[in-house]
Amino acid sequence: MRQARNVLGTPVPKVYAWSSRQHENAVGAEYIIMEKLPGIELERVWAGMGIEDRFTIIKAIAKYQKAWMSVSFEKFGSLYYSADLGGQLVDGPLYTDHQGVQIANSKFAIGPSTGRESFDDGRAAIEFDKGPCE
Amino acid sequence: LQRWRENLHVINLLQVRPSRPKASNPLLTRSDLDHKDDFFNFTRGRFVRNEAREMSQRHIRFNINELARLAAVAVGAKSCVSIKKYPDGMYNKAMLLTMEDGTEVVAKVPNPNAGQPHFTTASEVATMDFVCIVLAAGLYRYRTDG
Repeated sequence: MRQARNVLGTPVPKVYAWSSRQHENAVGAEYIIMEKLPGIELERVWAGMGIEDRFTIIKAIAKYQKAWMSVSFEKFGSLYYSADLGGQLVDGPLYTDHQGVQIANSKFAIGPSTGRESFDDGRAAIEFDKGPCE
Repeated sequence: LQRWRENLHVINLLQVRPSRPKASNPLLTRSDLDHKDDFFNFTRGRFVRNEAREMSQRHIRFNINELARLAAVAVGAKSCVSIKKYPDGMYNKAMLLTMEDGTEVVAKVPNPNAGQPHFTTASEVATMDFVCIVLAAGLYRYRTDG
């Protein structure tokens, strides 16, 4: 199962433990403890790679991006577990899959955007609507 | 995407100069950890402009022994025997934790400048989960069709 996930999908580390509540855990900070994936940083070998190898890598990255772009969410914002957004249940589909089928999944919900453009250059201190937007 | 943006940000920030060569990758035993400020400070470089503020935005104090204990429990190991800090990103601390049985895990703690408390971490975890369970299935169908 684990093998299948990493071969067929985007290689994302498995999360073993986490907390987003700095004041409610004994670590005293938010943390994510996750699987260490094998591999090295691309920049360590990129300069010495030939054009064919580089093209292979770029195609692999593009394949992942294609998979990410193949689903379309109903709202603009960031993705959360519903339970982390106060638990109010949202009716209706969460996203449209690569075949155009609308999918409901009450485990997840769209909430405020965590994009850097909402926080950098002093914007973190400004109260404004960070979404989700319809 | 966030990690990609983070890297772009570093490239743009030409005021970050390299610090002491390779001195910031300490391999430490557990008893040393709480006395080692490198884990809690930004150690990858220096800032030409507003250094005190930039450093304070990237200083996060936490109970690193508790983090190591939780990591060991999470993977069913007896204890964590070493923690190595990865080179700082602009918004997070990341560490490689090695257990007594050789198991390695990565731990990540956001800096104060990472975003709104709770939301950034909660969204990151949910997104990783979503990518695994939903996009893996989508890509599988895509491949068999092709």
